Amino acid sequence: MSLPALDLQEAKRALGAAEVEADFWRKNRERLLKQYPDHFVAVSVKDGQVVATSPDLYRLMLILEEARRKPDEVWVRFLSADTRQYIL
Amino acid sequence: MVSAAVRVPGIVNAWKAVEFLLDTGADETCVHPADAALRLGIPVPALADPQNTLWAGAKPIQAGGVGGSALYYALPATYAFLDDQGAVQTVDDVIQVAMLTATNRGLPSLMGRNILQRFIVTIDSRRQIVTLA
Repeated sequence: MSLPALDLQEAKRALGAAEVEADFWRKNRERLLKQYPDHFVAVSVKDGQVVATSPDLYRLMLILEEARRKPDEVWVRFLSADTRQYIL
Repeated sequence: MVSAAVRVPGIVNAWKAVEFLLDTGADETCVHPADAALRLGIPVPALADPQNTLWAGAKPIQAGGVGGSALYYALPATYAFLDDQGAVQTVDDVIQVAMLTATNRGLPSLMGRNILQRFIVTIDSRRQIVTLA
C-alpha cells in the first residue's frame, strides 16, 4: 500500500515514541510492580512520576479523565504480580 | 514482542503503537482491552458494550484464547512496521478488537497468522529478537 510520506513519518514517530516508553518500563517495571502489584499504573511521560493507579481499567480511565490527563501525556501498563506463562 | 503502529480508519485515525505478542497459533491479530483503550484510545464503555454504535457494521466473532472466551469485532486496519533501514512498511488487513471481560483486562495483544503469513518470521531466542522480513 502506498501512503503519503508525511503519513509514514507519523507512523515512524509513533513507533519511536513506543520504543522510548518500552525502555522506561524495562527500567522501572520491577520497582513499580513492588508498589502496585496487579494494578494498572499510569506515569507521566514528562517525568516518569506515577499519576494514577487502579486494579480496574475503567476506574483508571476515569481518574485520568478527572485529572484532565490526555492519553498522550501518560504511559500505562498493567503490572501483573504473577509471572505469566502463556500456552498459545 | 513485535511493535507495530496501527490505524483503524473511522475509529483510530492517527497511528498508534501497539506491542504484540507473536502467536503463530492465532488465526487473526487481535487487540485486547487494555491496549484497545490505552493505546488505540477506544473508550472503555464501548469496549464493555457490544451494542455500542462504534461496532455498527463490524463483524462479530466469539473466540477462545488465553483469556477465555470473548466477543471480538473485526475492523479493517493498517499496520506499519519499521524496517532495519529505518523505512516504514505497511500492511492492510483486519484487527480483531476484544470486548472487555472479567478475565482479559491484562492480556497482551496478539499478532496472528493473518499478518505473520506475509513475512518470513525469524525468532532469535538467544538474542531475544524477532525479525519479520
